[in-house]
Amino acid sequence: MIICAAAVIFAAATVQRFRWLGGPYFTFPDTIQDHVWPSRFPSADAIVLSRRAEPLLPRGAKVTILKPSEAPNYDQTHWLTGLGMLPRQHPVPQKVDELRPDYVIAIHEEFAHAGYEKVATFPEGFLYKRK
Amino acid sequence: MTDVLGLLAYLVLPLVGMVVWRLDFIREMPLGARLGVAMAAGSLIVALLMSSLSVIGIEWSRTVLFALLAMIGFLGFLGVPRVPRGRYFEQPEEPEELRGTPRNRRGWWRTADAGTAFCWLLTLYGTLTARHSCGDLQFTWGPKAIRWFRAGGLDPDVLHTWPQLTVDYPPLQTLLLALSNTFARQFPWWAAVLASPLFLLALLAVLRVWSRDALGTLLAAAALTYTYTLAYPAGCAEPPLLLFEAIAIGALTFLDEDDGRAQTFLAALGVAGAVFTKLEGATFAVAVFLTILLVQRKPKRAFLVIAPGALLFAAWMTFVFRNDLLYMYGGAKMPIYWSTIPVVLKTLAKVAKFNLWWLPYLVPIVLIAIGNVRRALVPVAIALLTTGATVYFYVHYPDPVWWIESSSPRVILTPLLALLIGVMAARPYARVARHGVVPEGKETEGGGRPPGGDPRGALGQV
Repeated sequence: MIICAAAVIFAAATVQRFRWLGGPYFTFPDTIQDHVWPSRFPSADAIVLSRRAEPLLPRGAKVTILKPSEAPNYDQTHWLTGLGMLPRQHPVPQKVDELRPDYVIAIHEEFAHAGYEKVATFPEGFLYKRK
Repeated sequence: MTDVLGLLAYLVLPLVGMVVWRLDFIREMPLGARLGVAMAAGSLIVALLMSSLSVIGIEWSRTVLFALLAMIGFLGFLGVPRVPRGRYFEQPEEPEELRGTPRNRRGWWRTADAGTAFCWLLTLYGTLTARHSCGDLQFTWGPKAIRWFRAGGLDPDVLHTWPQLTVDYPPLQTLLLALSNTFARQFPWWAAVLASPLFLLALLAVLRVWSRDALGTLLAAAALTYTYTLAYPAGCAEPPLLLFEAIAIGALTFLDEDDGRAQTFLAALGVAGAVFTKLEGATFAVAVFLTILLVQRKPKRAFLVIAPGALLFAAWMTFVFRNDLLYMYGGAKMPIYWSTIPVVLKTLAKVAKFNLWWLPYLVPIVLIAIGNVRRALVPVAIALLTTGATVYFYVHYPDPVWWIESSSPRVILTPLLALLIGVMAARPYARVARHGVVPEGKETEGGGRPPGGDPRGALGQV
């Protein structure tokens, strides 16, 4: 009896958790991170941006991904996402001045840096190339 | 198509692992347990094969891997003799005391199995809708697997180029992801997360068959289904780790045969797999070793069970030291901050609450307490030891709160799993191993049951 009651509670709590995470409930998501939290994580957009930017990036190019408003302590999960999503390029940490990546993918916001120029605009962010 | 091919790699694992069906005590098990064990064995075989190829300098390619996996899989089918049932694994479809009872009681059993299937489907749904995805798949496991795949092997240069990729972490999960990448050519992110429900299914199948307890399995399925929603294990190493751990704990708890071969082999398989999968696998191995030594009082078995895992650990550490990759394991040399114990305990307690008043832990603890605790000594001991190891791990950090909050929801699934197996053992329906489970006042040479009692389990002894 205890087990049945507990199982019902756990199942109900699971459904409630799914509801809390939000919909849509019966659509195949765009990324594996789409519903891990009620609000969308920037790392989910890092996935989408990487996909969009990849055709524009030369093979072997040094590239990083950052969210400009997080400067100077950027969330390192963004460039690590690029490490998986951009297998033909060479992603580097977000130390832009030190490592001087060839390309910078900026999530959501414009990346104001004298050494870089914007080369593409996407719904989720921007792509910059070193001048 | 990429993800279908990637998922195919995980479906191949049981075919590769079928080679262990050549062992008579495994061949005798009902199909669910055989497939679950084959899934675990296949994962370990693939990881060892891919590691070995890298060590001897053969590049991973579809041709090489497919040929070798096909050969191993073929061995599983080739000339396997039939053995009479009942020699090692006498396993009726349902508990003896439910036979001949009113149909509604058997109905309960079937309803419990349906409930288990429903819980598993919830996990599948959560995974398919990206509600269980592990962040570390995207940040470390996935990138490392992709870079190894592109390098054609377990390449230390990749780890030196990107030292952020938890470089000395045991390789099994990364190798499985790399195998999936080999099948699909592109990295199949969805296949990586969908492996999680597959490993959970294997875990539930093994426990259901070995314990014979449909309700206990239902509780395990429901508790894991719920805790998965907060632990986000899909794509990380916990799903295979939990399968290995379930096999080790389950074998020591439920398997009962005269010569102890099944217990020893399957516990060793589980321990070796755990050690090769995650850092915590090493502490799990120590917990299993101490449990066999102290609870079962079988020192020879303790050493036999831990030996393959210790060899794998030594091999991996040799790779780590030779390539100057020591990172996480170096934590053992870090100072201990005893003053952080209250913070560690408080934060762990907060995480263990799982937003549900600690019910995932309280329910098994209460059920074990009101059941036969002695029958559950093995899993309870492992739960306590792994909890202790978790606390010990976190007191190595001066400010451990963030670390605990981000990693412990997955880490504490191990003691939870042990407690859930403890529930099955403490209930009267499960078959429980003889050694080390000695009913009070009934100690006998053969292993703790009154002479003339039911030889299959502890039915009627509670």
